[in-house]
Amino acid sequence: MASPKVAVVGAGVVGLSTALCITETCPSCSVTVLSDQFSPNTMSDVAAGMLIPHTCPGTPILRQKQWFQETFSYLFAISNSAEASEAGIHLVSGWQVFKSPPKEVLPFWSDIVLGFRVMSEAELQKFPQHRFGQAFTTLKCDCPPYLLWLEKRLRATGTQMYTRKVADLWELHSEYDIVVNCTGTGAHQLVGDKQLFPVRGQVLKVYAPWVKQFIRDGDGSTYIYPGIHRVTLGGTREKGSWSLSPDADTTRDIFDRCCSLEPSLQGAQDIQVKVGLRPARQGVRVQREVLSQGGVKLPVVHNYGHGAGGFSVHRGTANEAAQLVEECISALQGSLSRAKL
Amino acid sequence: MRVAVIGAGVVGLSSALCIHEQFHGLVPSLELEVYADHFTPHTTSDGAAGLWQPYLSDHGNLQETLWNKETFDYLLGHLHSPAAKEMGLFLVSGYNLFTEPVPDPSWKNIVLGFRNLTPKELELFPGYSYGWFNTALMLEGRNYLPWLTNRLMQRGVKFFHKKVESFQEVSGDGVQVVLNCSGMRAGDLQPDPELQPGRGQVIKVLAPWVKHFIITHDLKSGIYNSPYVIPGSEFTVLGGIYQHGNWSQENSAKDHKLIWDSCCRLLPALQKAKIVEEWSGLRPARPSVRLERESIRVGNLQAEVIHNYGHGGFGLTIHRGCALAAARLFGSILQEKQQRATPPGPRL
Repeated sequence: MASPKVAVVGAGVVGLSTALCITETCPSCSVTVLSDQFSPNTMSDVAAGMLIPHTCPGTPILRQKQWFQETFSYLFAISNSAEASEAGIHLVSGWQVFKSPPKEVLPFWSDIVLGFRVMSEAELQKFPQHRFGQAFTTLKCDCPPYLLWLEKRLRATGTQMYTRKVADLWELHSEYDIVVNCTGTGAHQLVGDKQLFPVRGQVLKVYAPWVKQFIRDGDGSTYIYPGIHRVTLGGTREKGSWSLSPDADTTRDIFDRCCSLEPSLQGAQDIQVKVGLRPARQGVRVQREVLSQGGVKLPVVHNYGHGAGGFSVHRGTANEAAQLVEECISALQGSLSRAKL
Repeated sequence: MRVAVIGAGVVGLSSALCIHEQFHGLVPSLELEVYADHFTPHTTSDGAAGLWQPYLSDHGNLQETLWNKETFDYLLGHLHSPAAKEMGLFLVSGYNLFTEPVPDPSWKNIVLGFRNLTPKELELFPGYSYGWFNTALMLEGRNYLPWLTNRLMQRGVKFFHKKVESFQEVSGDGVQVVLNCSGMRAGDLQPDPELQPGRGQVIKVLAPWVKHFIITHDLKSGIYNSPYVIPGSEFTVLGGIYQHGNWSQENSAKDHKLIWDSCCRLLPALQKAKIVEEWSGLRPARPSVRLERESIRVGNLQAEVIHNYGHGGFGLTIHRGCALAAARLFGSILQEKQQRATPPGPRL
């Protein structure tokens, strides 16, 4: 197989990074990205893009840690380079505070982020309602810049990108040799995965350039993440809600909760409201599958279901998906050789 | 009672405010007047980035360390007040970098979360093998000085745009106390060979992705002669110049190149940053801050001068502690005047 044709469906952070990994592991592949939405209109664009993992119950911790480590290292190198501002990657320090001490004193990622330690009494004075805290430095991927940078890297490899709504993966079988499914919440419909469910998140993106540190309530409900131009204030976790319309009461509630963590946000300007649906699943699905109809086979690699932790593990899962694509290519070449005999 | 304050930088304005806050109720018709040749945004305080950080060592000058602490605690207390944004006050974390291990600074327990850097963090800064991380405060002069000015105007303090050439000029005619907060120009009012300019130059850029301050140190070159990057609320300040004895306030192309090249080496992403402004100023450097009283003759009268100058590159860092100390000196002047005015009565 001289130049395997690979279609990546989905142009969020997972789709684009998976496509990029495939061009890196398989330079002879011809990669095409197909998506009904591109940045700035993907779910990834709504997210703050903070590298703080969420523990996924259905995936072994070691695997999640491996994914996070790979992602962190990859982005750390970019943040330290001249491309950092274009790629939207920057270091940010801050605090995770708890009203009552967490069950897990040391999260699995504490040795991957920088300078992780327990907050001092003096630092906790800033958070009178919280009794315990952790301080650390991590990375943030600002979107759209990061996605646009990934698109630019892809175009440089000759990857084509098309706006196209794929209704059924099988429709691609005649044009492509391998299909990679990075459709996030779309997988619920596209491949009928009933395990995939949305967790609705509403956020505010505000102008408050004096906020240089992140603050996150350990219960995950409230967070303040300073990006390059705007601060993301969040949030909500509404399981099963498919609604993409902003809710005014929720906006008020998010703003109040964030102001109680960081009173200076009262002076925030130009509040923009966004809604995204986290593609939640017991475990992230990074897996091969072969679709077949009437004797014709279509290898598929799935890479979806990252829930709230997409940015934190995206590069790690992209690497794994690219490996699976390599396996698909070997399998195809194997069957081609057998066909020749 | 009239009090003249010479100088409208952070030291002059904050000293005036401290005195008015503490004594306007106690002294009938206390009138404060601020005289300055430069007001915000043209003072030295306006050019500084505004990072609260004393020098590495206090050289045993515990008094200054206490004043620094008083200032930090005062500002920290205002962090959650509605005025914080207007004051230009906010928290910021960052790095101090060295090429060799150094003793901990006098201010390690004043700032928040002070710790040494981990090996992984040092990977971010090739060439540096040791460092600190801590959370400190930013107090931007361009916001703080107008805020102080507004507080003073609300209290009826008057401002005069005037270059004062001598103490005699402002004393007399009811002015009994003069606060000398003239910073770099104190030598014009009274020669002080210990006061020397510590010339600095900075480049202000748009680099909103920088969320930490990074101060490098070259122990052989001395303080602030090594690149630093400080993220403000609007601009990021690049600097690293300290020229003792250089009175020039003109931007130097050579210094520009030095700052730009060394900061871009430190943070490669800065190469893409847009330059917005360049500024040079003179730090009013002195072996120690001059904060003391002096009686001077004005004709056949006496005026009390309270000197409060020589804060080098740490004016914003130390201002509140010094303003309170100046207010205490003012208080003792008042007490003496009262004692002289009311002779001791018969013992009971």
